[in-house]
Amino acid sequence: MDVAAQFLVAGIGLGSLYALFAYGVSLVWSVSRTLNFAHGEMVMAGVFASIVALSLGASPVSSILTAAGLSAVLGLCLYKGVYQPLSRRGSSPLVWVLGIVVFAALVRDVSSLVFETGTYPAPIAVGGDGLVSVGSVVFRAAYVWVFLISAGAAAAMEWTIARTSFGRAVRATAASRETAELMGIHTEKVTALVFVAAAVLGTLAGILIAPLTFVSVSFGWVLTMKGFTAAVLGGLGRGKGALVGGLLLGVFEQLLTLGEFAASDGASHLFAAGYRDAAIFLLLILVLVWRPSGLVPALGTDTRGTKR
Amino acid sequence: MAARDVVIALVAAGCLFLLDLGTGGRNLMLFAAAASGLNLITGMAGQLSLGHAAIFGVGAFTAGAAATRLDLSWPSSLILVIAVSALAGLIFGAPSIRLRGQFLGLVTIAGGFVFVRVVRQSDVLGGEYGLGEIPSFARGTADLSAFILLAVSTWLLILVSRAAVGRILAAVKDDEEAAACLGIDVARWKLTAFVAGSSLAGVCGFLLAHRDGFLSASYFDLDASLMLLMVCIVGGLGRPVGAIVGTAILVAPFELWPALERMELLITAPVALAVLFLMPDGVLGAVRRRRGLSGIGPMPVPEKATDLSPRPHDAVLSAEGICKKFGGVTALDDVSLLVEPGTIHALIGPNGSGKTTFVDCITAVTPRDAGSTRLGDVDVSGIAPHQIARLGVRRTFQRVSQFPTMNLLESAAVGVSSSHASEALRAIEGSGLDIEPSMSSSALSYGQTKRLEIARAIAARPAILILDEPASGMDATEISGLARVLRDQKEQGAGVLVIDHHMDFVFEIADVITVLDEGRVIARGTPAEVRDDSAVISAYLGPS
Repeated sequence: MDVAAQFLVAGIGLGSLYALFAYGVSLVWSVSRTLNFAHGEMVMAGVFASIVALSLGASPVSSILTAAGLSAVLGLCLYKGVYQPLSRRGSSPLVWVLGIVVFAALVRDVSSLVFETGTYPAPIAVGGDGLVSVGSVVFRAAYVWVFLISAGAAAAMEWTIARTSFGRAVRATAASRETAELMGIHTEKVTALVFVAAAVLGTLAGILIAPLTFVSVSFGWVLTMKGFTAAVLGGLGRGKGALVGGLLLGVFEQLLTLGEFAASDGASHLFAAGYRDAAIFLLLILVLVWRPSGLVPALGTDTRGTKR
Repeated sequence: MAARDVVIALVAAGCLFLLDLGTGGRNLMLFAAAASGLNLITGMAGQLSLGHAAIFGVGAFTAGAAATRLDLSWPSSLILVIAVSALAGLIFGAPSIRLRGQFLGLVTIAGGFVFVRVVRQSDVLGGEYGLGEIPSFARGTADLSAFILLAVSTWLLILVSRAAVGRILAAVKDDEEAAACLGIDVARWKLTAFVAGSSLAGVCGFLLAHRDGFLSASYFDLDASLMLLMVCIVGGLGRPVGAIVGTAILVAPFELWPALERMELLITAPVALAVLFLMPDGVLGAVRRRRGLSGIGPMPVPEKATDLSPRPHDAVLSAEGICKKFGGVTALDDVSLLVEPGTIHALIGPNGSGKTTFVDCITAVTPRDAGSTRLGDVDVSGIAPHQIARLGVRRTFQRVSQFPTMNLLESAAVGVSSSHASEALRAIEGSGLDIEPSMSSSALSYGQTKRLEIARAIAARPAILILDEPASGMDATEISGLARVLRDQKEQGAGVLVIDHHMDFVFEIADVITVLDEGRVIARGTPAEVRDDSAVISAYLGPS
């Protein structure tokens, strides 16, 4: 039972980070009807920027700012350099999606040219290696810290979307781009800012997740896919849905890990290590095919353009 | 023509064969052939696959396992490889029935990941260390087989691009809904493209396994899938020789000059991105454009248009009690309507009265809640849009549903069952389009596009012709031309159902007019009767 509780805590901690990836993916989808296949690559680039900054003697805070700055620039490049010009041509969505996919490949190719393959130590170990014990359940303090920080970030984003004039513009653009433009909203600026915000939010989550998993040049795609999975679980385009979807994914993943843990001293190898991600991606496929509107029911007034 | 196709395929494949002699690493010919399979799926049929390398891998690992674990001889192994990779293509392609575009891309990425993870975990397939000790063919045999595979598959793609199949795939790519209403079984053709492209990739995998003697899952990961896709983008998505040209540009230099190897990562993606911006249909597309060619493949323009073959039958289309709700909104409430052969029936009503929804329901584009449709004695209520189209009911759409990748003649010939272009040519002339048939259909004006859609619908000699706002965006001359086309159809025995807002046009040509308001029939009769109907006047002008 204690073991299960430990895994639950880990699931919620990691899940809160998947929630932030999903939130960004979902937000970008709602204003641009585009799956950002480059999301995780921008996060990866940001995390590596903070590693470089730290190695050059920067303080942790300025390394985080460096990471956020680089991913913001990449988000803007993706929007201004790829999405906007290709989608403006009025060509089929296939063309700009191809553009985004190639952009993702570009970011990763350049990174793997600069950095060696293999894993890197996390830039900033939030919560360190400290342990917390509640009763007989012992778990890493990092999970608690991570959860608190990402809950704060998610709350800030939700507040921005719900309460500020920028948030109103985002919601209007998501509901109907044309109507929003007729109402005087500069939808291109809104979309650009959403691309940037999603990249920065993702990079923050990337720095937080680094000490809990691993860092390598190829970890961007995994983050992209986890973000998509969580966003699709929660219903693409719904912010609160993405947050719930992230937590669901985190817990589901830890359940699988628990299965591996249990299997490791038994004879069964059904859940041997690498099958976990395969199971998650199968879940993504199944949900997309059978329940494309997601597993999480719509929450309150949380309608942010769920229509395809 | 036929001899030229063979020469093109041999020369293109031969160029890669020569380039291959100078390289030792990746086999360019196998890479190009696998990319050709992707070009069929994504380029020709428009189904985005971001996991094609995994199918390549399915073929390779099946061959590897068959040789090392099952001790199969190579012919039976090859049969097994084709069967398994075709099945894998079917599984990869199945989601395309429900998902389109980027979502299909997402699913295929996930599928590719699953493949790589499963191979890495599987001891039978070599796990993390890769699968080795696969019996190798002699270098000469391997290269010759790769050359034959590449030349034959390229030749087949050229044939496909100019045959009716090529137009069908392009229609599926450009506009699925319009394609279905032209009698095309969209789901079947998508799956066919996936299975054919995957079988080709599988055979490439077979040859790769027996060429290298060693396989690792990392050859077939997402990077490899993206590389295959970028090769197609650069050469030309949907162009039969595109994969070969793309391989020669994007892969060959790094294999020929090992010194460049490290630069590969810095060069490939930017080149692909630049091509997307500057030459949206790739190097070959740009070359074709420069030579003034349009459309998907060379389709000979017939010297003269032949008369159209006789209509299949003169059948009455009858819709009974059609009901449709969208959420809480009742769009159609018990609407019945009869379209008789040799008459023009107009369906009018204010905006939002349910006219288009009605047409969508009877052509099965939108599922209905209640009601039935019969064509003659046949109940067509429960069947798919393409089946209704094949029974002789053709429709146009309110929105523009042109096929931008095709030229005029190809576009008009999409729904014609025979491969005779002359029927399409006759339809183009009949619709009053006085334009060179080899012109690109994306260069037409709005009114011309509308007439092209009508030409496409009448090319199949439909028993029932349904036109949704054909006159919108047409000027007075064009409208009178349209009236002439509809009268021609009527005189030849077709039943015509037309929705339009141009009252002069409607009252001039219609034999019967049905008026819809808020989803209900409020009047029906001859133009004179409807014109004086008080309910109609109050629906249009508001209660007096």
